[in-house]
Amino acid sequence: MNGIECEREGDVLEALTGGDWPDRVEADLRAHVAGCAICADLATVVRPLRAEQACVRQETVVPPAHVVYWRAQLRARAEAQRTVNHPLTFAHAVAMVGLGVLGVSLTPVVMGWFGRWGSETRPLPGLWDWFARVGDWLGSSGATGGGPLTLWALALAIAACLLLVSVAVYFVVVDD
Amino acid sequence: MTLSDVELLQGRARQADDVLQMDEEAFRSLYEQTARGVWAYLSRMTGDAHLADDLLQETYYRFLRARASFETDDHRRNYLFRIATNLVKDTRRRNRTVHVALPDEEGPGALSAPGDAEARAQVRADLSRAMAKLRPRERSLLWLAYGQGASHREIAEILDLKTASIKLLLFRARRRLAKLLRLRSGAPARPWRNSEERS
Repeated sequence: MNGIECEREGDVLEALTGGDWPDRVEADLRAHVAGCAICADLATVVRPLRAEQACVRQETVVPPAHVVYWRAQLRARAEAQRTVNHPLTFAHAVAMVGLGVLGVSLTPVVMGWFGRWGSETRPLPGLWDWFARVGDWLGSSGATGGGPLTLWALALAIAACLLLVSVAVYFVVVDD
Repeated sequence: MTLSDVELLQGRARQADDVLQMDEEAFRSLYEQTARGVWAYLSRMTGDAHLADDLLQETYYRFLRARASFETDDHRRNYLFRIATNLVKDTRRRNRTVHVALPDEEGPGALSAPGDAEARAQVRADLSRAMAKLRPRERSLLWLAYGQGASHREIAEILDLKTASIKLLLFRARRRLAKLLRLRSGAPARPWRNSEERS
């Protein structure tokens, strides 16, 4: 016997797990257990644990196998569906952002057109003057400075970038 | 992305059964061999029968989705217990209530049964209370070693420990549980004292 194991530990464990303990084991093994700290601990612990395991196994009512398998199938399908939808959702979000950016970029141009058209036809003079002023102001502000051609080029470049990003993201995540 | 791409991907989603690593017949066979043991382990590690039910489903789901290959049924069983162990750890980390169920909570009249049944119920209650005082890893070690009858190598695989350390860890866990059980049963704390001192 060393500090943590005893040479007769195997015999004791075999007797305990085989159901021979304590009545059907030799007297010398019982005497050994009575005098050996390691084997006594083993006997104290193993019997109730084995009994508990047997009771739990007997009492346990687990769900039927087909129910567990069916739930796993459903969940696997739901997860696969989510994985499929993930790039689509992302592409939709990117497209919406692109649309927003395009709208903001074109606002000064559209406002200017409305203003010029209104000032020629004059159906509601105040309104068209206001459109023209806003269009001029937005067109001359730093963020979208430049003429209509520059604005168109900027808007198209942004839209193309967003489209390319969404396509690239789709191809990256599609294998998931 | 074209419509046909989307249809193709959705078709793949419908074929999710292929993602499960075994068919229903093979699963049924494995489940019938292992489910009670896994549930017993989960319930004794969490102390909550309802939580054990949930974790049992989760354990088999993760097993079915795993892309691992197994040589034998023993490997499959060890892998299941490993998943179960990790789930219990995750549950503990998320601070979900983990209390150790006593046998008298498990069925009406468990402690009022006469004779042997009453004694057995008392032993079970003592064991549950004593196990509740152990560290989670000690509970796992003892249950796997003596409840499940797992070898040191299997325990090391399940608990992600080194095989060489199992002997010492098991010795310490066993000593602690034995001490707690003797205190509960009123037996002398160290009946072998004289012989131990001699050796």
